[in-house]
Parts: sequence; structure tokens; C-alpha cells
Amino acid sequence: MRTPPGVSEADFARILQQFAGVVGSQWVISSEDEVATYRDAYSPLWGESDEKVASAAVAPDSVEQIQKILAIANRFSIPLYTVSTGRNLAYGGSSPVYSGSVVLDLKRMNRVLEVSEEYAYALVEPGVSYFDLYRHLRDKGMKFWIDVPDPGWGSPVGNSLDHGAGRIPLPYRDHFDAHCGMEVVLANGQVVRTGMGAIPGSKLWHQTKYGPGPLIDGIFSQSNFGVVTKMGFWLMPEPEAVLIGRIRVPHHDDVIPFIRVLSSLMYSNIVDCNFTIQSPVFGSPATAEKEALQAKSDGGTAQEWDRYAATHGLEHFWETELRFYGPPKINTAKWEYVKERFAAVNGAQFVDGETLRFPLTDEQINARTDVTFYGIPSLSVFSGMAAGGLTGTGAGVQTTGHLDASPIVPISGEALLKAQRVFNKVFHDAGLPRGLGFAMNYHWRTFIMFQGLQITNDKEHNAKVRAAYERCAQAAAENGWGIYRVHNAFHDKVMGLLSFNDHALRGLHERLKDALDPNGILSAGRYGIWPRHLRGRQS
Amino acid sequence: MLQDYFVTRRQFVGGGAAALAATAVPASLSPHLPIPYRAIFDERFEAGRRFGADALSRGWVTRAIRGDITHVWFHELSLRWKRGPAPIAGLTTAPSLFVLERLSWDVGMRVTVRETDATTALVHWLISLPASRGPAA
Repeated sequence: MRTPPGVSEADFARILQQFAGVVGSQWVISSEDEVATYRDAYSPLWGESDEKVASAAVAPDSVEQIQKILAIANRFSIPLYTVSTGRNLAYGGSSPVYSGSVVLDLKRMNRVLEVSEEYAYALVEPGVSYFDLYRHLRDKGMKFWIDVPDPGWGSPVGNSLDHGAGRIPLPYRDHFDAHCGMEVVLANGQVVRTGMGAIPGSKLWHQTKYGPGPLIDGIFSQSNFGVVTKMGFWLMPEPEAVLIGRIRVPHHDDVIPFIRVLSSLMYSNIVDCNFTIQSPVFGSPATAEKEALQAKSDGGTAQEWDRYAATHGLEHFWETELRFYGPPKINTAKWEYVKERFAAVNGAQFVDGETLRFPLTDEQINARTDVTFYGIPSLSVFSGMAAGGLTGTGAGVQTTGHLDASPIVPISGEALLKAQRVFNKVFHDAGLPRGLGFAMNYHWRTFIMFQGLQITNDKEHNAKVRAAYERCAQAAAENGWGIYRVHNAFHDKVMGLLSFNDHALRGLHERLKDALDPNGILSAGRYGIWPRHLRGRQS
Repeated sequence: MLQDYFVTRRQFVGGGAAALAATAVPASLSPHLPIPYRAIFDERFEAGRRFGADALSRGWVTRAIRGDITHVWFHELSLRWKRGPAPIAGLTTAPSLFVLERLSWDVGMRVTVRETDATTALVHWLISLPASRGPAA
């Protein structure tokens, strides 16, 4: 039996018995087979001696049970690691940062507590998945959309606390930004409600984020200061329709005015959809000429790339697809206005796409590959992905998962081009394949440039992947950019890059940790926040 | 009734390893094998289509997918599994099985048969309660 660090098997067995007294023995998971289900299937440390693994798990069903578990953990200094539904693949799954922690698995707390049709919000527990909430709304005939991340098996609570995002218009797409009010169990068992929720019998908990006093919800995201047990989320009324339009520009440097116009439209709320800037040229199949251009120290000049595009019959260098949600008349008016604004970009071309009316039928849903843009959860991102060998690796090397180094950069063409050069060099130096020309406005006013890294069954390859991930984060920081969300194998490294004023932010986090969780029982090491007794020792 | 859905590895393999190596449903499966709640096959592949046809001829309820398991999960498996474990069998890609496997963990099931074809990389699998969780085979 694996145990938490410094805890004997005999003591741990007694502690697990105490947990069982709270939740029932069937909800204390300690057999090797069952604990293995909490391993991170996409771990870049898979099979290594320092892979992050749990010792056991305990699954409470209520706030009261959580309070009792925290009391036991405090009494015996047992490290817990909180997960909601525990998916979070590519960011650590349900594996703890601090190996040997007991996973505090909240999947049984899966109740949709309230949906207000009048005020357009839902109040949910951490174990509610996107599928659960979607089904609840659908079964009750409620005309609301939720925003879902690409894989829909996760939890609105867990995903928003990890700063996840999806595809429908803002503010709903930014999941933490779309939350309003939370309930948190602190390490000492005290239950706190944030914002207006602190008023007994509050009628405003999920209508306004602000209460008198500090807005404190943020400290419970990407952190370990409490166990969030309820969150309110704003829901988007189902629009009448969506209109899809595509914009293309012909040359390499067109990306600069292209994004300048697009961002202005975004800041004006004319464009509020999720869009991806793609390059049919950078995204085209590899050729020796293309490889040689990318390998140049400057990544290839604009003229060289334009010449490459022309000689390979690629008519458009950049393109994006926009969606306009709402009444058809308004959608059409917005699209026409967008075309007017883009007339300032030489050579801009427009493709009128389809108009869809909502709700979609099940047949339409099943036939489409873009359902997450319409608030419908899907599992296609994982179940439909390619498997098998990996180009450039030895025989027998198979992909087993992926990481997303997820830098965010300013929304500008200049930043996009520079980021492409920077990250291309990282991958080139690491000897790893990568794609170019991909940036997305996941969150408000930034581009995210996912840098996909394939995890394999080969430890040597995975070591290169880990080094490249860290180099991506370092290169981002050197350019004044950041990482929006981090796999838990790299929390310390990435948080170490936030070094302004001698790591003053880390110092603040640690003072909060000491005050709120003096025994350090909650999710030690999450986002680099370690309890006092583990600082410097790390994971 | 839920015990009716308990399928052991021994029952599924039935006629032995040679049957699993075949891409269609093993013809020599034990007549005592409980019917899987759903037999899922990837219709993009010839081997998958053969599996589906063979499963159908046995009276199994089949579902064709094209990689993505969302539809069968949302409309059928998730609803059935809310009432308790129910075995499913299939011939799919590894990523499709990867997702189904994790979803099945939530109701205590495991992949109890997993045979990968070396040529196609398709996986012939059974998800059911492991022997440690169910009645004796």
C-alpha cells in the first residue's frame, strides 16, 4: 500500500478507517487497481519514479462529510488533493501535485441545485459534469446554453477553477468570468459564501459578483486555499440563429492589419465569438523548402513566405471563421458591417457561410463536428483523436497522450508572428514536430497559442517533451507573455517565472496559505503554493 | 437483474485466444454469454463493419461510430449506467476505447478484454465488472 509521505502503513490504515466512518467504506478507495484510476493517463512522467501518484482517494457526498474529512486530515497531517470530476487531461488529470496525497474526489457531489429561468443562472456542485448540466436543461426544456470546453466530461466547477474556456460568446466562454458566487469549505471546516452570498437569504448571490468588501473568489482558482462546494454560473439564453462567415487575406504581413481590425471589432462587441486565426500556408503539408524556411534564424521573411505560397498554389495566407449569434437580421447586419471594416485590408475576401437555427435536432447534432460552438458537450476531442506511431521517433514508439503548453500573447499580428518564430525555435531545437499559424481568442483580449506535445510510451521522448514544455514557458516569459494553465508536473517551474519584485506574488500566496491552511492539508504544491513544512522540498 | 450483465473474461473469450484474434465476434462464444448492453464498432474500418454484422447476427444491439463515442454515450450508455453497470463490447480505435474506459470506471467497470490488432491497431474489447467486483464466474 502506498502511503502519504511520513505516514506508516498501520497509521494510514487506521486513518482510512476513519474516512470510511464518514463516507462509508465503499467510498474510500485504496486498492491498487482502484487507485490506479487516479493516475494521469497523459502524464509526461508516466512510469517514471517521480510520476505524481495518489496513495488513496475518498469521495464525500456532502459539505458535512467534507468538514469531517478535513478534521481528520488536520489531526493526522494527511495531504489531500481535491478534484471535481477529475478529468483535466493534459493538465494533470486527477493526479496530485504532491505524490502520496489522498485524492478528495467530489464526483458524488453531482447535484444541479438550482436553475433560475428568470435570472439565467445555474447553481451546481463540483461533481456535476457539463453533460449533466446540459441534460438537466434539455430535459426540462430550458432554453439556455452552457459553455463547454472541448471535452464535455469535465466539471463546470473544476474547469472554471482551472481557468478553462470554451466556444460560445463572451462572457460565457471564459468559465471563471461567467461564474457568480461560490461556497467554499476552508481547511478548518468553516463554510464561506462569497459576494452577496454572505447575506443570509441572499437574493443576489448569483446575479452580481460584488458584495461589499473584497472580491475574493479569485483566490480559490488555480490554488489550494479551500474546497469549493458550490458555484453559480451565468447561462446564455439560446439565440435564434447563428450566421457563419469566413474572412481570408492573401499575404504574410496582412495578418497585422487583419488582426488590428478584428480586435477592434472584438473590443466593440461586434465580434464576440470564439475565432481561430489559421494559416493555410503554415498549416500546409511539410516540404523540404518549408522546413528550410522554418529553420532559418529569422523563421523566413515575409517575401520568402509569400513566394512559397505563390509557388505552391496557396491563395490565402491567413483566414478566420466568425460566428454571429442572435436574431438573423442582427447577425446579417453585423456581418455586413464586418465586411465594411475589412475593406481597409487589401485583398480581403469574404465567404458567406451557413445560417443555423436553434435548437438543433439530434440528427443535426450528431452530424456536426462544431457542436461545442452551440453549447453542446462532446467527447470527440479525445475519442476521435489519432493514435499510433509518431513521426520522427523510433519503431514501437506510440503516442499515449498529449500536453498543451498554453502560452497567451497579445492580440496583434506582430505578436502572433513573433510568437510563431519563438515557439518554432523551441520545437526545432528540441527536435520535435510542430504546427504553425494557429492562434485563438479563448479568453478576452488575448490570443492563446496551444503548443501541442505528444506523450509517448518512450521515456527518452517524454524527457524531450518535458524540456520543451519548460522551454516554451521560459521563452514566453522572456517575451513578456505567460501560460494560462499548467500541467501539474510544471507548476513550480512556471510559477517560478512570476518573479517580479523578488517573487512577491509567491510570497503573498504563501502568506495566504499559512493563514488559511496552517497544517498544509489542501492540495500541496498546486500552482507552486506549498505549505510551510514542504517549502523548498517541493514535490 | 444487474447480475445478468456480469460478464467474465473467460465467458467473453469463450472459444479462446484464437477467437479474439479474429476481427468479427468470435463464433465460438459461450452460449451462456450474457448479451452485452451495446456492441460498438467503428464503421470506418472493414474489421469494424464485420464485427458489427456478426454482433447483429447474434442478436446484440449494435451501434456504429466513426471515432467519436459522444452520441452513444449521451443517449444510451450514460442513462443505462446511471442504473448500474452493464457490459459493453466493441471493436474500435484505441482513443474511442480510452474514453469509454474512463467513463466506465465511474460505475466500477473495467476493460476486462483488450486485444489490439498489430496490423490495424484496432482494439477488440470488453468492458464489464472485474472478477473482484462481481459474482464468481
